[in-house]
Amino acid sequence: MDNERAETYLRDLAESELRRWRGRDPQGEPETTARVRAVAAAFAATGALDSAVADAVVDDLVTALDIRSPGDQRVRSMVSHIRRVHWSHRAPGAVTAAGAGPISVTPVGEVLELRDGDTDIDIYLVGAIRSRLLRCLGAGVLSRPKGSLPGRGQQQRGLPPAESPSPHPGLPGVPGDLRAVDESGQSYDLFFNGQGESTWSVGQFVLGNQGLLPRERIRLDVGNEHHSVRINLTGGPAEARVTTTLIDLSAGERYLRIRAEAMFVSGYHDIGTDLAPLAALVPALRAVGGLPEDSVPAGQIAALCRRYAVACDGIADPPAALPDRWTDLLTSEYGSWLEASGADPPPAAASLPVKFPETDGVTTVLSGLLTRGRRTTVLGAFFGAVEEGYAEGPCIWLRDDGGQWHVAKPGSWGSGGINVFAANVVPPVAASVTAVDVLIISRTAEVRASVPLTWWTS
Amino acid sequence: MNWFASLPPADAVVPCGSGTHTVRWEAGQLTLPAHPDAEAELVLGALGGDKPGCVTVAETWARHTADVAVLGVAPRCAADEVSVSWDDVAQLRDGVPPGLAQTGQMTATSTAGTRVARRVLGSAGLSARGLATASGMAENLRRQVQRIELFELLALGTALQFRLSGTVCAAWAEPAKSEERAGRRPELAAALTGRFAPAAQEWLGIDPDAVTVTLHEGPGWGTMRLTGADQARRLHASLPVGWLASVWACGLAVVDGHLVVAVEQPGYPEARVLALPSPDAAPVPTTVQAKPDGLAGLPRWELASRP
Repeated sequence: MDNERAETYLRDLAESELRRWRGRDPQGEPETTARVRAVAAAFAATGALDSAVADAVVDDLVTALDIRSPGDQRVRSMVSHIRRVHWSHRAPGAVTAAGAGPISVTPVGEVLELRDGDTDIDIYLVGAIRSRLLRCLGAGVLSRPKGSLPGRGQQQRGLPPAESPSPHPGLPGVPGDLRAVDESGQSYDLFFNGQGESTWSVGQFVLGNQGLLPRERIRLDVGNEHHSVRINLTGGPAEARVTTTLIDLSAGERYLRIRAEAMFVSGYHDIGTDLAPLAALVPALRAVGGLPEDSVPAGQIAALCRRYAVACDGIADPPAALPDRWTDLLTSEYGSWLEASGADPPPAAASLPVKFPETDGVTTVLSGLLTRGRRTTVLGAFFGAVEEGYAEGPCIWLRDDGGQWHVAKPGSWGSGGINVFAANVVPPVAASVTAVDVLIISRTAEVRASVPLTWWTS
Repeated sequence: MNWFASLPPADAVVPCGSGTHTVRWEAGQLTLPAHPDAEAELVLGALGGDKPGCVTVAETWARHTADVAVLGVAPRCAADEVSVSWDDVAQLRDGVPPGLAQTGQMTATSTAGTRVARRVLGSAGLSARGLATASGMAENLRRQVQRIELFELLALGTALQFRLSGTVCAAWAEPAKSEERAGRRPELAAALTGRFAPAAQEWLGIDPDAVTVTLHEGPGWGTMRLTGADQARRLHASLPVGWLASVWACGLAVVDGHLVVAVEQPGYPEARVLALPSPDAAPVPTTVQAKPDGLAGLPRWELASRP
């Protein structure tokens, strides 16, 4: 691809956006920069342009917009921009997937009942992920008024008192005093990374750094001083059979394809919002020789633009057929979100222990599914530095035994190349589903696995 | 031939000491009427004395007279208002990370600047390991120091914003810069497009997004070609970067419905230019005369005689 042509294209696009923005509502700045940011990222990711040059063009545009904004907002924006750019630099030394050491995932399938506090709490422990640098338990936490959750009465006594109690402030409804104790007596604080509201939260309990939980330790008691459950870290079904298909596309097409997938996976925007910047990539990549004339991803974006009535200036491609998973999502109740109420049946949990092979430097691990009311969450982790271009990691799709596709929209927490996630599954997966095909889409490969589901509840 | 001869002097007010002083742009130079012995004050400043605000501004101006980044932030046309006040600059200095606001100790484009940046980062408390991997961050810092200096220059007001842009473009139009110019072609072409497109819109009523400009090198004023019709109308121009200095920065781009493509004899209030009445016409030598009531501190030019 032609670097000079790419830089000229990007700078001309920035000039065009600056012209369009002049005299407009300054609140529209993010929209004005979205296309330039998208094209800059595409050029950098595909090697059409040095990333420092691409960043500088975006930076210059933001500054040019700032000094054309009115009054107080202008100064605030300029200061925050300088600070943001000043402190933003790619963190070195992110852990690679290989650097995380051997990774394993184990189904758990236990409910920890806590009845000692002001509320009744059931913690659904679905799976454990273990590596040299991360040990975490995927969980859903149901918190209800005192006396409203039944007790099974089968749990063992609580854990021995902690030597130095250190309750952690967590999300409302999530106990902050949980620990795990291995068979040697070593105790680990549990930190919850997750999302939810006061009655139902989903996420991962990460074991603290009091010790590395050596691989020979195979048992954990999890709970507090009043209640606990025992987890066997060696159990589980045979590993799911995984198949990998390499994607044979040009760099530009690969990027276009993964950005389109990432648009469906994004949990923060509506497709209609993200489509305009995505559509801007087609003429941009084509202008620098990054797309063939008969590009399928370009045709699919043309079809999406037509469907959403988004202007697609510069896209002459005839609309192409959309993948089934996209049309399934577009025709489902996409975006609807009905919160569970107290009258809903109890949550259902299913272990989903799958470790996928590394693709594009990232290993994806899933540990379980949790469904409550109209909300389903898939839990897991990405090991390895996520490249720019993904939403928060490779894209995860599930196809249930009825043929319906579901997309996982991660909210993730992590650093240094490991991201644990709790991803909202849209549309939700009913507890009647007995198996799912999991599809992991990365830049250069698609990886699939079929996994049976056994649901359980309290 | 001095590009700036088609521009009248322009003044700006600068905070200096406990008050304000006027700085003046005249004949291509920034002068300090309130500091007749600015060089002596510079020496005093270097010895630890207070450096007057006017002198600091003049130094900053001198550092950016060939800085292409100026063209990224400065106005594209008279209607493109860029407004930065001295209060804004003060707030910016107060609001940025410690050490960053102390500009003047590093140049905007030098490797010495990056060295100073590393020193500032060190004083900001980065670890040795962080410093070792901070070259990208140092480059960011250099850019942000450059940015604050640009804001200071923009605070000199619209008239001097155009004159600074012209100074930068004239520097890049020098024959000695031809090799370096080739390496900055995308930036210079974007600077041309961003400024020529609004002029073309005024000239032909064409959509500015339908205007493409490439950098012209070699003899002659360049080329102009209009293709298509209605919505498919496209204007392809090839102009030298010097057009931005001698024509655009002097407010001469469009005069009475004619596009000025070159200046044969600069002057104020009268200049001799080459003007295109239409894209398919040959340029015609024409005399233009300045009126003082132009926008953005620029003259308003009229044809002295119909070509």
